[in-house]
Amino acid sequence: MSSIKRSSSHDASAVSAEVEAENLVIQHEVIIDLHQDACVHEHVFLGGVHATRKPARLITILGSCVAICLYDTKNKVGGMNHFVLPGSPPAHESDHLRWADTSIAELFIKVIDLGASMQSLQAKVFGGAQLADRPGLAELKIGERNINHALQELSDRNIVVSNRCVGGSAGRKIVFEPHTGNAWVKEFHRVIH
Amino acid sequence: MSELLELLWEAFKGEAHEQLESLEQAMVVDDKTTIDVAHVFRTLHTLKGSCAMMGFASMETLAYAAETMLDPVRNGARTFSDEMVVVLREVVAALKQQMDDVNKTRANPEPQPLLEQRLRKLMEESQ
Repeated sequence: MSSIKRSSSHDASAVSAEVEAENLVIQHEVIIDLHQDACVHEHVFLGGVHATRKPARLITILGSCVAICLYDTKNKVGGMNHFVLPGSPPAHESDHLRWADTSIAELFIKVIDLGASMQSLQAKVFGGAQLADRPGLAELKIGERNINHALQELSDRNIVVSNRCVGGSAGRKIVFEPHTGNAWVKEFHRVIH
Repeated sequence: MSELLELLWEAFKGEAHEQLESLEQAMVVDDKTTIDVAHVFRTLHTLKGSCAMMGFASMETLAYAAETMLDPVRNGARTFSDEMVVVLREVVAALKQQMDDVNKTRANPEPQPLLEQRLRKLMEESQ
């Protein structure tokens, strides 16, 4: 089971190959033709924050984690974060960017530094799934808390959420173009069973 | 948020313990053809995910390397060699050791670069 959705206000003509679900655990499969142009491809891993002014495709894989994609098409700047847990890091945490508060703040700092304006920034929000194979952790609803946290932070900053693909029980692969704001989502309904 | 972290830690501890026991049981058999490779792969995959969530990157890396090596075996693209079984048993022992350390310190445990290297070598040979 797998599906491709293109989260964009534009037409969906760029979506191509669908990949067998069995192969999806490997991180390097192609979900759209990533080599069709000279775009730089950057993987944004757990606790990662990446912003750029250059044409690029930012790629990430999410379970209960959340990625916020910020873009300002007027100033042609955008970026993506990938946070793991809601709230602020505890005192002993060595990697602060794993936490929502610090990660989101860092993303905003980076895109503003590169010339984005708060008035023209928009957001797309992805992830926050409840993964069925984690019964112990499922009760804590980390995915749901991550989504709520992201949406609240964006609302507090008056940022319009133009699209979202959140919740549910599927893992997701996201490909995001910061310079256009286009994003592609592939859901992994049954990754390895 | 430290309250959430406490709850996460309790959930992780119980889950990881069960998964490590399950991995150990799966690997302790005389006849390697009876090892449930799909089960071992899935358990490593899940353990990797919860270690990543908790920030125990050394366990995540080791579980991921083992999972990746097993992928072609699971898909039937490669046979399950004796060497793989030996390395996997060592991986399970190392993960248990790492988990013991995590239980004491609640910090990212020591990495296992030599085991990771052996796993990668086995994987490359399979290509």
